[in-house]
Amino acid sequence: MNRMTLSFDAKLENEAFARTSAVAFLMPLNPTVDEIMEIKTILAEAVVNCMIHGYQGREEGQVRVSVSYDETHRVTIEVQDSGVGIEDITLARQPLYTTRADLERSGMGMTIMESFSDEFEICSHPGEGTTVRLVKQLQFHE
Amino acid sequence: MKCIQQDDALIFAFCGDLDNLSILKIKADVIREIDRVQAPVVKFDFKDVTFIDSTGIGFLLARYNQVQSYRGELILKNISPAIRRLFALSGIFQIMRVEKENDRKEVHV
Repeated sequence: MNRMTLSFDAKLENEAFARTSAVAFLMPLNPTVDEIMEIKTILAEAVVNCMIHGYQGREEGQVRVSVSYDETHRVTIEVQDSGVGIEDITLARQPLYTTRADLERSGMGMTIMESFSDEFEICSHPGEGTTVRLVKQLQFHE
Repeated sequence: MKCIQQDDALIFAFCGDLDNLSILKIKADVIREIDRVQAPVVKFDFKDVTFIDSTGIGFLLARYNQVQSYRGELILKNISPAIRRLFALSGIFQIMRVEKENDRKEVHV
């Protein structure tokens, strides 16, 4: 088992830092190009959600990213904010549903996280924040 | 990002990681240029794009509506398998056309 945790301000420029750091941490598993792309995309979706929806642009909010893997190359990703939380998780998970059409959001973030992972859970309480937890099984490479 | 006019087409060639921050940086320029030229065909070229996420899908859908509003057509170019998989989740290909490699070559049999 190996684990890393990052905590950073909810500034948009930190999203690239989060996705590239997560991928760098997983390099000992020798992931494929497709796996790297999917993990980057999962991180981008989850972190941008914290910034735009959780903290609604308040840059002093803290985003916490935790990535771990075990000897079977099962990767667990957790992304957490202490923002406004989600009122209706079922609705939020609907493809193309967005509360921020004004920002040209597509409403596809959660659909993408779900289809690029093997397990996808959302835990959220209005006024307290949101945690998403994803599991992705990477292939074994010698 | 590069923007060129070729015949009746306005072509945007994007490059690098097309993430939330970079789309914020280019959005106003793309909107203004599309409105200024009102070309019958607007092409988005993804040949040099290394990363894209749902922010890109939102941007694409909004520009599709913008081009539609003056009855133009938005065409996508050089969609890699990774980008294709991401875009397919949103049903984008049901409304937008992807230019084939040989679309511009004359073929006589």
